[in-house]
Amino acid sequence: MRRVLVDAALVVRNVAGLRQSILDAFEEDDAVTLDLVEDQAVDLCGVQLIEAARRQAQAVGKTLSLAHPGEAFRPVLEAAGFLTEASEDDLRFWFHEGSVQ
Amino acid sequence: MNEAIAIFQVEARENLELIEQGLLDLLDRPEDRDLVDAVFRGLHTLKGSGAMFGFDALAGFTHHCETAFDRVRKGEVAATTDLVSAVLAARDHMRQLLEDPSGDHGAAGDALLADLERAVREADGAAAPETPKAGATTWRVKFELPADAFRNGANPLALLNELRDLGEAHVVVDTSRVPPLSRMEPTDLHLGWTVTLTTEHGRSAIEDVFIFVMDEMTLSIEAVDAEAAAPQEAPQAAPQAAPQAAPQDAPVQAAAEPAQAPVSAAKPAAVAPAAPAAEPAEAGGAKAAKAAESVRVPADRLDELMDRVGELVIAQSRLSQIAAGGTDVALRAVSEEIERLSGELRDTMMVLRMVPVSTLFGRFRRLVHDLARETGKAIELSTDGESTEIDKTVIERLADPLVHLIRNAADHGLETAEDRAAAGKPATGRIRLSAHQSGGEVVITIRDDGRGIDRDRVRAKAESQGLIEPGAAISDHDLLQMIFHPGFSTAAAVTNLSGRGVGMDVVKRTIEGLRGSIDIASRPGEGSEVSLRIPLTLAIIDGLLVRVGHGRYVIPLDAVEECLELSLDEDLRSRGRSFISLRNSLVPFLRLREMFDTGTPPELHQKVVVVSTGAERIGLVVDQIIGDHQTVIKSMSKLHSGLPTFSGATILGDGGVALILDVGHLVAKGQQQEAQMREAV
Repeated sequence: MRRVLVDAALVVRNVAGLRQSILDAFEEDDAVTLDLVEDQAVDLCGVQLIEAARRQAQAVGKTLSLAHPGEAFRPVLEAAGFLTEASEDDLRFWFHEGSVQ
Repeated sequence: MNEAIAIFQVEARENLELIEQGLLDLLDRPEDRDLVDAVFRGLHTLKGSGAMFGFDALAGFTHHCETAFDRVRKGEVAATTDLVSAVLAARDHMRQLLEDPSGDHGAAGDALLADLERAVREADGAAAPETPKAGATTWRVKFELPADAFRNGANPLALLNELRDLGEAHVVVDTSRVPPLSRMEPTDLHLGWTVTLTTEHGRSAIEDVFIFVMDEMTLSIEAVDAEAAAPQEAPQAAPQAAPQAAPQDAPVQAAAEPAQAPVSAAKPAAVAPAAPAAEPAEAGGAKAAKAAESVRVPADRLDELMDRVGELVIAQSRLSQIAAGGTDVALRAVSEEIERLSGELRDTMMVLRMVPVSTLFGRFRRLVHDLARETGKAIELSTDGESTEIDKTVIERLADPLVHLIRNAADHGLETAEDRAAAGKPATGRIRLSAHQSGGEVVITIRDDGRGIDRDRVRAKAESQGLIEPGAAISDHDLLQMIFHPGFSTAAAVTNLSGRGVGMDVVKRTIEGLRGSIDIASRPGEGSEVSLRIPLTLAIIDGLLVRVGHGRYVIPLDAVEECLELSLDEDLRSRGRSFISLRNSLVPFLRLREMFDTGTPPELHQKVVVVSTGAERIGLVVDQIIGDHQTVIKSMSKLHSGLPTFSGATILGDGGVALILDVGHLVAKGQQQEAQMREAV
C-alpha cells in the first residue's frame, strides 16, 4: 500500500500538486491511502479532487482510501450536498462507516 | 493575488461608475424598472465581489445600501430624488472604501446609512406595495457554474447558503461530470447542483442569488408544484428562465467556458458586469465572445510601449539619414522599409492610446447634479460628440480644467430660477458640453445659456488690478481675455464652488501645457462659450523640419498651410511692415532669424511657412525647409520650460536636438504685431 501524506491545505491553490502525487502513487501501487494531517483545511475544490481520485481508482481497477475518517471534509461535504443522498460506499470511503478499518 | 485584487479594483471602479450613471439616469426616469434593476445588480455585484476579495468594509456597507435599494426594486418605495441622492452619496463612500480599505470610515458610513434610511422612510408609501406572495412554493433549482469558477474566486457554497437562507433547501450535488483524476484539470469546477427549495420568496429572489455569476452559468428554475406557484409569476417563467433543465451530460454551453478565450482568465467572471437577470443563455454566449475581443492593459504598459516606439522612431530616422548619405542601395531599401513599418507602428500605437471623450463627459453628469443641489438652480447638462477620441494622457489632464469651467458656468454663468424667469428664459439652465475633431485637434466647448460675462465688471476689475489703463480702448476679445489673468475673479462673494480667484489662469496654463489653446466668447444675457482646442496626442507628431541660422526647428505639420519663397528683394521691400500678400489678403510674418537672434545673414532664398490656428494665420520666415520629420516630443528641461515660443524638443536622426515651435504662441505674437502695425498706421 502506498501512503500519500497530505500535509498542505487541501484547497484550490494546492490541488495541482496533490493531483500529481496521487497519480504518481497509483503508478507505483494498486492501493493508495491518503493521510491527511488532523484538522487539515479543505475546500470544495479539494473535495472534488478526492472525488476525481476515487473515479481514477475505479477506472484503473485500483483502490483509494483515507487513512483516517475524513471529519475535516464533513462541513464541506454537508454544505455542498454530497451527503444528502450519499451511498453506503460514499459513507464508507469518507467516514469509514460500516467499515472494518 | 495582488494582481487579482488590482483587477477587482479596476472592475469595481467601473461598476461604481455604472451605478452612478444609473442613479443619475434614475433621477430623470424614476419609473424605469430596467434602471432600478441595473443599479441593484451593480450594488449586488459590488457586495459579492468585495467580500470575495477581502474588502469587508465595502461589502458590509454595500450590503446595507443594497438592502435599502432592494425596497425600490420590489416597488415598495419610490425612487425619490432624496433617496437616489442618498444612494449617490453612499456610492461615493463605497469608492472611498474601495480605495482606502483600511481607513477609518465607520462614522461617515453610519451617517450616510442613516440618511439613506431616512430617505427610504420618507419615500415609503410613495409607491404602492407589491401584492404579497401567497404561500410557499417549491422550486427545483439546477445550476452549473463556469469551469473557471474556482480560479475566479466564485464560491458555490456561498450560493448554496444563500439559497438555504430563502427557505427549506434540499441540496444534492451532481458529480456525474467529475472525470477520473488523470483527465482532470484540477482547478476546473466539474460539479453541478440540484436544490429543491421551498420558500415564500418568488422566482426573482432565487435569481438574485445568482445575479453576479448569471452571465456565464447555466441555471434552470422550475416550480415543482405548479398549482402553488404564484399565478402572476407563472406566465413570466417560460420566457425569463434560462434553458430549462439541460441534460446533465449535455456539453457545457459556450457561455460556460470562458477559460478558453485568451483574455478571460484575467477577468474574474464574478465581477463581470452583470447581464439582466435570466438573460437567455445564447445572449450570454455572445456577450462572452464579445468580451474576449478586448484585452485590459494597464496604462503604464501602454506608456512604456509608446516610449519604445518613440525611441524606435528616433533610431529609424538616424538609419534613414545614414542610408540617404551613402550609396548602398540595399541599405536604402531596408531603411525605407523600416521607415514605413515604424510609421505604421506609430499609427497603430496612437490608435491604442485613443479613448472616447465620453469617459470624461460621463463624470460631469454627477458634478452637475451636485452643483444643482448646492446652488439650488435647476441645471440640465447635455453632451454631444462623445465618441470623439483623444489620447488618454490628454483626457486625464483635461478633467480638472473642465470641472472648473463647468463649476464656473453653474455658479457664475447660470442665473437663479427667478432671475431666469424675469429674463424670459426657461427655469432650467442649460450647460452643453460638446466635442469634435478638427484636423489634428479636438475642440471641446462648454456652453451655458446664462447671463454671460459682465464686461463692465471685468473692465472695472482689470482697471483696479492695473491690467489696463482706466478708460483705455480695448477690443471685446482682449477684454474677455482678462479673466485668464492670475488672481482675476469677478465673483462678488467667494462661494464653495468657485470664485476663489484661482482658476481661469490655471485652466489656461493647463490647456497650454497640453499644447492647446483656450478661447472664450460671451453674449450678455445669452450665455458664454469656452472653447478648448487640444492636440490629439502629446507623444509623437508629424513635423516640418526647418533651419533658421544654424539651428533646426520643428513646426507641427498640422498647423502648416503652405510654404512660399521669400526672395531677398521681397524681404528688403517688406522691411518695416512684415506682411506678405497671400491671395488678396495680408498675412503678417515673423522673421525667426531675428527673433532667435542667430547673428547669421539671411539666405538668398528664404522660405515663409504659413501656419494657422483656426481662423488666425501668420508666416514664419525660415532659412531652409529640410523636410517632414516624425517628431517624438520630449519635454523641455525645467530651466527652459518657461520659454513660451517652444512647446518641446525632439532628437534628430543625427543625434542633434531640434526645438518644437509653439504655433499658438507664435500666431498670437504675429497677430499682436499686426495690431501694433495697424495702430501705428
